[in-house]
Amino acid sequence: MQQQYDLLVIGGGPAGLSAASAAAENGLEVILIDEQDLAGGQIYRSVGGKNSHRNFLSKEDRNDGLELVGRFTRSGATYLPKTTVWEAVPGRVLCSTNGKSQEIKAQCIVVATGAMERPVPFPGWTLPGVMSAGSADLMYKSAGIVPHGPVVIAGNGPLIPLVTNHLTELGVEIAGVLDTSPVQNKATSMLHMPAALVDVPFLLKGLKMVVNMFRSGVKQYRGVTDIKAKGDGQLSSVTFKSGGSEKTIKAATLLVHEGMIPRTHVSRMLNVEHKWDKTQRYWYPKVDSVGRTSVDSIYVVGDGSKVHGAAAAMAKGELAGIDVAQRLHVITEGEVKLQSASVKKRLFKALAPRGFVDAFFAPKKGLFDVADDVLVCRCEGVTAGDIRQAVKEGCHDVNEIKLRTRCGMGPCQGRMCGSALAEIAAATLNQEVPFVGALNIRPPVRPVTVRELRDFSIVK
Amino acid sequence: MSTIPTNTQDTVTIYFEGEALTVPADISVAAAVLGPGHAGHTSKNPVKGDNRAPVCLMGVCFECMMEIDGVPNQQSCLITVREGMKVKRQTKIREKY
Repeated sequence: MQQQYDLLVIGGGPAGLSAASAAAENGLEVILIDEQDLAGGQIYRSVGGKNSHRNFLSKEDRNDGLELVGRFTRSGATYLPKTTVWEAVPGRVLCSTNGKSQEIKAQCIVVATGAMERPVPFPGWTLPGVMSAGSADLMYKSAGIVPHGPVVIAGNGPLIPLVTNHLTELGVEIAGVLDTSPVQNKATSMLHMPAALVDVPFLLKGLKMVVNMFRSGVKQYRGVTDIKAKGDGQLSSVTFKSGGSEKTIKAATLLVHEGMIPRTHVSRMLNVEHKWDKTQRYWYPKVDSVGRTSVDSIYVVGDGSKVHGAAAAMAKGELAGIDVAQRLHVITEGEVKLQSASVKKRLFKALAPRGFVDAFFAPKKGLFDVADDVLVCRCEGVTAGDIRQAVKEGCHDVNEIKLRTRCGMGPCQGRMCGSALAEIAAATLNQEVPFVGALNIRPPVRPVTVRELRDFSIVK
Repeated sequence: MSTIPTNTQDTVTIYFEGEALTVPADISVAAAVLGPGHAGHTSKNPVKGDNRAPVCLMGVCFECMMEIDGVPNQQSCLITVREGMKVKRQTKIREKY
């Protein structure tokens, strides 16, 4: 008979690894499932790989990552890499490893699926050569490969200075940085500065990144709008408006970044309650101080609950792991307090600057006001105009629009178009996003073969 | 994409569109074809027929789907290269219905 675990963790980044470690160290039977072949999540991608000493540009980050993964390895938790979860209900998940599916049972589930970059459609965004800014960082960390130059980096968010600096350091030709951030963010974010001063080193790290970007001598354009990727079957140039005139830059790679949003497909599939963040404009699962959701035995931790960064993710994961141990009666309330005290302090410190960061990098108004002919659903070829037409014909819920247009029905299952679909529909109706709802996420949340659906051992 | 020659290499040979490609042993198929393989595009969109290539490299966008060892629709960014692996662009267009 297959074993039933005490805790199943989905995702091997800072939050998931911390949750699994904390629970396993307290004596629980824990299994962690992750899509990648090495633990660490995206921020510490391939940190345990044999080239990470070269591919991590920051020694400090690498050491933090190795410590996190090392603790997990020593914790005794079972590790299931290269495995994708495609169905989850309280008590059990179905997942596939190399095309072979299996069922795993557990009393509690911690969802730690992390964040992704907000996909924002614009003309030409499907051209090969157009990638997310984060992909450049992941490619280097995991494979020691940098993008073809000349590179143009565009958008508004924390990865813009980070990736610009990394690529400069690696000697990649950067033809320009296109800053799309609204000017008023600088002012509104200052209201949150007093709270952020709790973590001065964090602010200095950010400031240093921005200063380095200026020092690098990379050409920067402010107040950029109307970005278009152009080329015949492959990116060759980027056009945009800045300072009242249209400009064109030759580019082999365009890296775009419009901030980070939680990855909610697994938490949506588990039917936990989600809420709308007005500043950062994303849905996030509602959780309490230790990650418990509206569904009994289901926790969500890390950037998948709200994008707060790696330090916060580790603390959130740890608190959930401790809470599961208490719930399953392996530790007392006194032990919980003892274990949680320093973690709560870390979390408080990590959350302090987030109001400032969120406001500073808030997505601009009208970010999704794209022309009718712009492709929104990359998989199914649905345009902004198709969505607006469906709205005008009476579809007011994103799921109605999906049925009408096929927007969100392709292999990515709405991961790349879900935000834009809702924003465009809401704007057409002169409403806020919650009015049009969110896509229903049902299993399988990944494309699976009929064989995978059929061939898994059912545990009686 | 271009490779900065830093990785201490154990290498494997994969076949991209029939051409032998010697690549670092521990990288993803997507990294191998974009970097050493200079693939440009990795598929054609089955609805529109236009060229596509990986966007996110972290399992979200599904634009990296390729045919690997005869099995279509594999997310090449999530699969590590193996000796002798046969990798092809995915170019089938969906039939109208």
